[in-house]
Amino acid sequence: MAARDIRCFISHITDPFLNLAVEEWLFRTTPVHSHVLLLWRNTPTVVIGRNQNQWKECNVHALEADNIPWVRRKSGGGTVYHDLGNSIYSIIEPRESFTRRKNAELVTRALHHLDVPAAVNDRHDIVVDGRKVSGSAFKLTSRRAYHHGTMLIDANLTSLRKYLKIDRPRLVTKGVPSVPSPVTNLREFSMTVDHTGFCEAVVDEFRRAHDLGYLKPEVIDPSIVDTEPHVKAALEELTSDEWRLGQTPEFTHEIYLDQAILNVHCRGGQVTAASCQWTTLPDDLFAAGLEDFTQCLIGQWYHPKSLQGAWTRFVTMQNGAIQETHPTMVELRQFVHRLAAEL
Amino acid sequence: MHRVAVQSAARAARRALAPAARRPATAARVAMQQVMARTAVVAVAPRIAHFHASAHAMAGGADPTHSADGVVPFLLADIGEGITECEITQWFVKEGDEIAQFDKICEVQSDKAAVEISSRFDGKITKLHYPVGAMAKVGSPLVDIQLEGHDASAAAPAPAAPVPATAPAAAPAAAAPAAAPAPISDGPVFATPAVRRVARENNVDLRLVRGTGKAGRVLKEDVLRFVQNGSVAESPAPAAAPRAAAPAPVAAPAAAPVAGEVAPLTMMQKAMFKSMSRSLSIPHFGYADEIELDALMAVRAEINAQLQAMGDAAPVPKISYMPLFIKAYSLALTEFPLLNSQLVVDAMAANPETSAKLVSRPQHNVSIAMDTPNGLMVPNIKNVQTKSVLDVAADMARLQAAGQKGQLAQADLTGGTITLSNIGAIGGTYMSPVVVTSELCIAALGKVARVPKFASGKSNEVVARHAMPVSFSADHRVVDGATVARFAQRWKQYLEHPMTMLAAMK
Repeated sequence: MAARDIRCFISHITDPFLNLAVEEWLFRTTPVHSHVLLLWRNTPTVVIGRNQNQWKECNVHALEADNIPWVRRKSGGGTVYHDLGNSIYSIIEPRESFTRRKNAELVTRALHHLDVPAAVNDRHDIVVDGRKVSGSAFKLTSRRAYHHGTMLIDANLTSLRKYLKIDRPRLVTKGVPSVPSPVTNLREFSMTVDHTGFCEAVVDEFRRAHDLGYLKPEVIDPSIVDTEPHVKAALEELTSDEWRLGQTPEFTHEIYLDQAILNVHCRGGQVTAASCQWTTLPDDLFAAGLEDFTQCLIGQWYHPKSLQGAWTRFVTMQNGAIQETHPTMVELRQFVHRLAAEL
Repeated sequence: MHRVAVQSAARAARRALAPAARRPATAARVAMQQVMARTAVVAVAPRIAHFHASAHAMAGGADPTHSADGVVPFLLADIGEGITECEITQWFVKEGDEIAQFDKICEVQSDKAAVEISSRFDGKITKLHYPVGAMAKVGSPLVDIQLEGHDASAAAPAPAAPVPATAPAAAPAAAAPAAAPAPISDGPVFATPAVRRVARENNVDLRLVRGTGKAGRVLKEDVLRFVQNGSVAESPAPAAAPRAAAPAPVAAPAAAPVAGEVAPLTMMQKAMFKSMSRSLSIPHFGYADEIELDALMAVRAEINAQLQAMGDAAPVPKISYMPLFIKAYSLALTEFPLLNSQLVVDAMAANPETSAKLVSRPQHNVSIAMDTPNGLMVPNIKNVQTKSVLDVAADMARLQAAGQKGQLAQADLTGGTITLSNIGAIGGTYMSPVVVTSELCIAALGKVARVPKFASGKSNEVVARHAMPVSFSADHRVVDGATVARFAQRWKQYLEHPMTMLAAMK
């Protein structure tokens, strides 16, 4: 096999959206028979699986408060936390040669060279001493496939737990729930392992797997977004509302507020139905206003940022018969503020 | 509807007990849906637009076993790993779409793998077997595909609306010209799947493109030229396109009102309708007069001069006329406690008058409409009878600040016993304010104007005065006209001769 068909890239990008766009670009544009390794890492971020519900999987409010993004990736699987202490490998190959186990074993051999006693479990996760250090996910098309996985080297596990901890029993969703596992860092087993060492070890194993004596890693830097239109297009998709919110699996959320329980149903990330149950006896005008408002939520993204638009439409639909300064409208406005905190 | 009425009605509505659990009326829902529909079009960008390019040609393509009409079911293949069913996460096509071999049809997902399914055939999707989110079984049909060459385009339903719904931001040049251009021909369009694909990727309706290939076949270059030029008219077609037949009227802007449009009331408007109707069961007694403010203006100037002299020690930097109006209103009200009462009537009773009760209220909680940068707010000032003019001014300042931040407390907005509206801030002279069922009296202030008046005494001298028209309404079932007139005159006296307030102050 020609050397051109075995390639290895190391990304110097740390933006999660851009790294995933690069991965997508390699996946879609490299020759169908080629094998490609990409190694990368991200600044703090939470990455959810293709068919997962961010509202159920991660603490979106804590992320927002700390200015940390969440990203919907293209592969299946569960939610992971990334920071610079976590390295990621992506192995892209022909669909015919792809198996789930093979690449996890390749990475495990690389860990052995770093003196870490790793093993692959039956979920194709890599574990050390019974605790998970690497989760994996896959994407397949008719001719290509990739296997990518995380590697906790010395990630901030406190942040990991903070952002992935979410308790929303009243949000019921379709899609794939994450399977939480006890995790640990490679640092617990090796004082010397780091991103560079991990990358070198994986490149070596990848090279050996393809019987090559030498394989030079090619560097990818952020300017790729200007030189490769496909990267730019993939980046635009990954950052778009249509992808991040629009691909949210169907779900229902019962939101408990002071006076009422709001029942919101969403498909494609947008509210398709909303209704209200009263926990206290409401006054006529407030109840009517809230009913009007919930109807204004329909067709909007399920996201706090939609509430302003819904509010504007709600005010507009009253045709000037009742203005924003009306006491009941002021009350409703305050209700909507509380709702924003609960979404 | 009068502003004052609107504000007051809300308070009435708030106090009214809600009937059983409410469900939105169908009519209101319809109205909401109309609003929704407009937004939904913008928000949802179909991943692949719908085209009506007729399918033809491509003889000698794949020839799988299929029914006589050329429709094949496309099955979900075994994706390995012993997985027997997958969730459909995304459709890349919809019914009626043309697809070519290797085009993506859908994506399915097992636990850890997202798998894209591609077509093995050229043809047209006639049926999707699952909605997004459904579980598809391995070996069962995902879609039905009408193979190329079998689609009798004459029998196909006539394309109704050839303008595709385009993504709002990324609308390419060719998408949605202001008037729908006419197709070059009504017959079948000849093009290879590769060309159809280019057309699809560029949101081009092939029927609008003039083919320059053999027998009018549309070539890739024709499509690209079409995209570049942005319309059929600019394509290098020697014969004029039969365009005149087509143009549809350009849609009116969404916001413009349409004559005869019927919009049902919103739930909120219905609630207002009810409470206003209740208010109008009250026989209103109207009374109006004009108050000269020149003396009060002098007093206010003196108070403000004193406040300014106090500097930082002043409770408020300066006062407007409203604290003076409000305090005088309360002083006058002390003599007419009836006007501050509440009439409790059981409207359902056979003889409401026998069950009716008057509940007296010692607190003078004066509801006011305040001007803020955000518009008018209607909180009330509590216990004006125990407060000084400066206390009232301080309360107003606090409410004003809270109003600006949208932080008015529930307590500030409820519990009013009588209303003083400064609707005149907007303009106008005399009003017909509406009494709400929880109060008996309301006054509305008109705009202050500088008017010519005869000076006092017998002189014919004309002098300039500042006059403010005031309009009262009261519940005539329990309040007689003379009471309102006396109350109004007492208040007028306090305002025109501010020194006399001293005598009434406690």
